[in-house]
Amino acid sequence: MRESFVDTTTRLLAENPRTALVLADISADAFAPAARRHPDRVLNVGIREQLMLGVAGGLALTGLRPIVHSYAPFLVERAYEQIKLDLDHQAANAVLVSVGASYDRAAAGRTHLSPADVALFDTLSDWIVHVPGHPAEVPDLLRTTVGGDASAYLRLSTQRNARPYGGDGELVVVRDAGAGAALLVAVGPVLDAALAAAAGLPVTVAYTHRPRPFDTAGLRALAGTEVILVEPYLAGSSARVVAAALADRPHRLLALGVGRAELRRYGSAEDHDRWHGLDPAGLRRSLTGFLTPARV
Amino acid sequence: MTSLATITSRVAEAAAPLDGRHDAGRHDAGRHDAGRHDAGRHDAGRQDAGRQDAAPLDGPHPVAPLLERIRAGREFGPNVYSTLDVLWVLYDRVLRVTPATVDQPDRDRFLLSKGHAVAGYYAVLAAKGFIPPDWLDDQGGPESRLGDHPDRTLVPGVEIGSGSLGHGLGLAVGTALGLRAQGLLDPQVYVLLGDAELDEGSNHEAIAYAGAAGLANLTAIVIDNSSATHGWSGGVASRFTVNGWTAATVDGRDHEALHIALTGHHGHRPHVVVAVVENGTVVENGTVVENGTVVENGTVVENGAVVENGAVVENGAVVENGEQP
Repeated sequence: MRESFVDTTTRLLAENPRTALVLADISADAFAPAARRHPDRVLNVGIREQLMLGVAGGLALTGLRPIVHSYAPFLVERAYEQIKLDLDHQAANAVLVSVGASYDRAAAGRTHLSPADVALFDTLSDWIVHVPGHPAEVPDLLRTTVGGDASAYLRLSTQRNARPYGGDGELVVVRDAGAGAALLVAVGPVLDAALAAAAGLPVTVAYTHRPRPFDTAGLRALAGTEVILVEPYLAGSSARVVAAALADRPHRLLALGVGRAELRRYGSAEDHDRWHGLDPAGLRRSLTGFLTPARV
Repeated sequence: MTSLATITSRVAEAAAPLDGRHDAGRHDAGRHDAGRHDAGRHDAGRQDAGRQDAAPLDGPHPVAPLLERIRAGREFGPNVYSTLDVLWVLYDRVLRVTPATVDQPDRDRFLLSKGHAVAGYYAVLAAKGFIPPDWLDDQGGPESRLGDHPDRTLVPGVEIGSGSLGHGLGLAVGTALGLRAQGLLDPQVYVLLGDAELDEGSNHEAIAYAGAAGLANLTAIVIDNSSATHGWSGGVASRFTVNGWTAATVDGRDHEALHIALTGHHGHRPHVVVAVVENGTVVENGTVVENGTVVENGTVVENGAVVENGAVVENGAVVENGEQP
């Protein structure tokens, strides 16, 4: 996905003189050709994330459309107050694009893990959040968000599904289990694992790459009394949204995702999927437990 | 604590240079690098054209009564007064922005980073017609657009919302870069900070980068009232010059010196003006005022703490009855 981001951003910089890119060393090599062609609009401030966001706010105040990019924890967590004040409070908008996701670089340890990023955007207002599940989804999402005026966060990952799903972020039914089935909503790259886990179960599986704004109309159209969320970031991040959308209906909700506990383990992203129960076997256990009526 | 009489005196003191009682002798020409001042560069389009020698203004100054309307009997911190002279020189003589041009791309920008110094800012904006003077009367009220920190979406002419220290300089760097990227090479970006605000590390990210990037359209103004808890050993200006900025350190009450320093920015480097003030306080009735400490009638007030009569507070330590450490 990072390559797709670099290619599309390089094109956007060439196509639209309003586009600017702000970096804090991360991916600077990949953008070197663009920086040579547009030295005034490709700005690498060095390892200075507070300044990266402050510069983006200032660029936006002059009418430019900044894209801001780094590892998720440095982009979102380290400079959170700059996102809140240098963008939102100024009524200045930008497109933030992260790499690293929850544990793409699991062996790097806690400093490079960012399971809480989407939840942090939920503390702000009116951010669009895209979590693509395949590199081929990235160009359209980037073009659409950069072409718009709203603030948006694109959460790129090395984890991916086998095939891309287009669309603007409305829920797409990937597996229809018929009337009365539970509804599972998979966000971004966890779809394939969710499909494998749901095999043979009475579960309709829907996909979205846009958790914010969540497609609540689609949710209400598809949901029965049992809803399962599978998200590749902090478990429960979208539980609030789903609960509010279904407030007038009796329903049960199972919200799966990355746990809060710091595991202090390295390994690979696949290892962390397993430890957080986001691999097919772990998801299967959660689904069957949720769907099997408890014996009282 | 500060008395009403003291506050009135402070207003008079703050307004003194504006009222024509400007003390030219306070300007230490030796501290200002006259060689950096390029009068020829000075744009004839600036508002002060033909007014270079007109620092002492005639008649009552418009800002003092406006400031009293905002104050409405409350006490102001010294920061309000320490900033007033710089704000006035900027809006009266330097900035190329008017109420009619607040949205024009080629306007000069002024960013108030130390957003708590807002009373003088609002008063100056009212004096210059950016906001109606009536807005000053209920500043901070439930229907007011004027908070204790400014909000750019609520106040015409306000370029940034501020209040949390350490955000203005980064935004100013971005603004300067954005203007440059769009070929807008004439407008200048001014950002006002305090010496204590420089404690925030975000400023040092911006100072280092702005110097490396050669942001010639950026001028930072640091009001130095010696309020940084641990001081700035070696001076405020050195933090900038070591990163490739030009610098001028001037008397923050001396309008002519401020004007020269604020317009002495040329070449390919960002510029900082360090405006040294005495914390906006006054000396009266034998009262000694120094480095942010207000001493009145033998009572020492520092950082909001009142020390009993006769005690001296020095460098944060309380010393009994005039004894020195």
